[in-house]
Amino acid sequence: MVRIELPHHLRELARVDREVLIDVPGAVTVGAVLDALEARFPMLQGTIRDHVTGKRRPFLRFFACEDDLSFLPPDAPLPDAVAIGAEPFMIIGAIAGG
Amino acid sequence: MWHLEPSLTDPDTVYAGVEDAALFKSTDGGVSWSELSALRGHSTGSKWAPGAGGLCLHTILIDPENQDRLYVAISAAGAFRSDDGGTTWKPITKGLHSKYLPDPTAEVGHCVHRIAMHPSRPQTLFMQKHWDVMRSDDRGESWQKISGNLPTDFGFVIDVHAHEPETIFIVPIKSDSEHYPLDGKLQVFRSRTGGNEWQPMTKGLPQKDCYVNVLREAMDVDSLDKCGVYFGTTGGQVYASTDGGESWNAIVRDLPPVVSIEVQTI
Amino acid sequence: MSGVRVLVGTRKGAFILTSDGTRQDWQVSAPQFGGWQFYHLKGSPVDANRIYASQSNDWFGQTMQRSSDGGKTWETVGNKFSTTAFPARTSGTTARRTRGNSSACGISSRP
Repeated sequence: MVRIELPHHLRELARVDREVLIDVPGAVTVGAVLDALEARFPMLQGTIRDHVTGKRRPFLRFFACEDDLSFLPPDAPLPDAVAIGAEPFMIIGAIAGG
Repeated sequence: MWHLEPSLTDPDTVYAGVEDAALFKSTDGGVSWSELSALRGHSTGSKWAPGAGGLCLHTILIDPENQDRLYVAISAAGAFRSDDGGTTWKPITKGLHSKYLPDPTAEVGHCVHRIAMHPSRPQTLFMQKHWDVMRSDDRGESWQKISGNLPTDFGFVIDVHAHEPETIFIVPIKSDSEHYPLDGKLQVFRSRTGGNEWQPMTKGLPQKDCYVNVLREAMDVDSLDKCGVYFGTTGGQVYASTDGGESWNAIVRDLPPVVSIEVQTI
Repeated sequence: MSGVRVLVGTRKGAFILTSDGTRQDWQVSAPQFGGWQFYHLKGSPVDANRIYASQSNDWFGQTMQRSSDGGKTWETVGNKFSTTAFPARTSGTTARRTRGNSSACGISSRP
């Protein structure tokens, strides 16, 4: 199971706690994790990545194992620690005023 | 998404107007949306230009006598009407004059801010545009200016009394460069004659040092016997009048900036 | 007809104001989805408990809420708005960062 940390507003939409556990079939890539997250929580579709292009929304960042993974392509594998649930995959909103 | 317009007969049907000026419809309670693409595909589409707020479809009206007749307003493309449920559209801007356009009476390009209709008179429309208050009595085929004695006719909101189809309310502001109440005085202007003759309604509204704005979606009326009129400001106040605009009271003062007001009589 | 419900969309959340027919005393709800801008909330004319809301946020874009109990509870509904008539656009209407301009359209003389 992959651990995913969601930002506050998406937790509010999905009605979940800070961290969710998601079963990711197959290779644990960025795209696969988000596919599985959106399948489990359809209300998050379009809020993390664009519906059509699949690109990460510009003010969001992906982190894991203290690295910024935001620019990985969708088929890039995530660190083993994320795949086995030892470390969370973090979706974070950029800090900005207002 | 700028505007939602639920169907007059089906709670699961709703229209939506979005930025980049498209019109969508859902018939399953908002789960899925399909575009009424003939609007953006209109032959004039290449001439639509955004205003500083973007190219937004901000007003959708459904004719209560014929729900296939839809009106939309787009900043800054103008106003359009469909008589066939959104399959075909025509601009309804004859009589509008916008001096900033290369052709001031062009078919498209007018920055229409808001259109209002009284359900008992669907052929009559009132429009607040980027300067000028207008009315049409022929479903938008032609428009006449009804600014009359207004000290300024730039503004965003316009609405109609629930029981008096010729009584209209606006909140004009200083200019397109300065979105403030004139002289720092928050005034609702009311006409009981369908335009041209306007009176300022100020009792209970701040008359000095007031620099809030009332955005285009931020006024509505209830349909109780004594029609209530409500508007919200960018300062976070929601004002209400229960005497047809004669006097006003802030029913809440300290909200975040108000963007829209809709009133349900229940 | 015994009361009034005012649906208020603001830059930071939606609020519901309710009163009885006297419209003298008003209850102000807590903010609904306080981190989101609400461009518009509107109820169905034939079912006062059915309310639709347009919700957006600079980080997460456009979402839609629907209530079937007069605004007490909400569920997220569809936010996929794919347009076809113009060159293919990304779906959804991302919140514009130049907020403050749901009034602005100053074409002529805005500096």
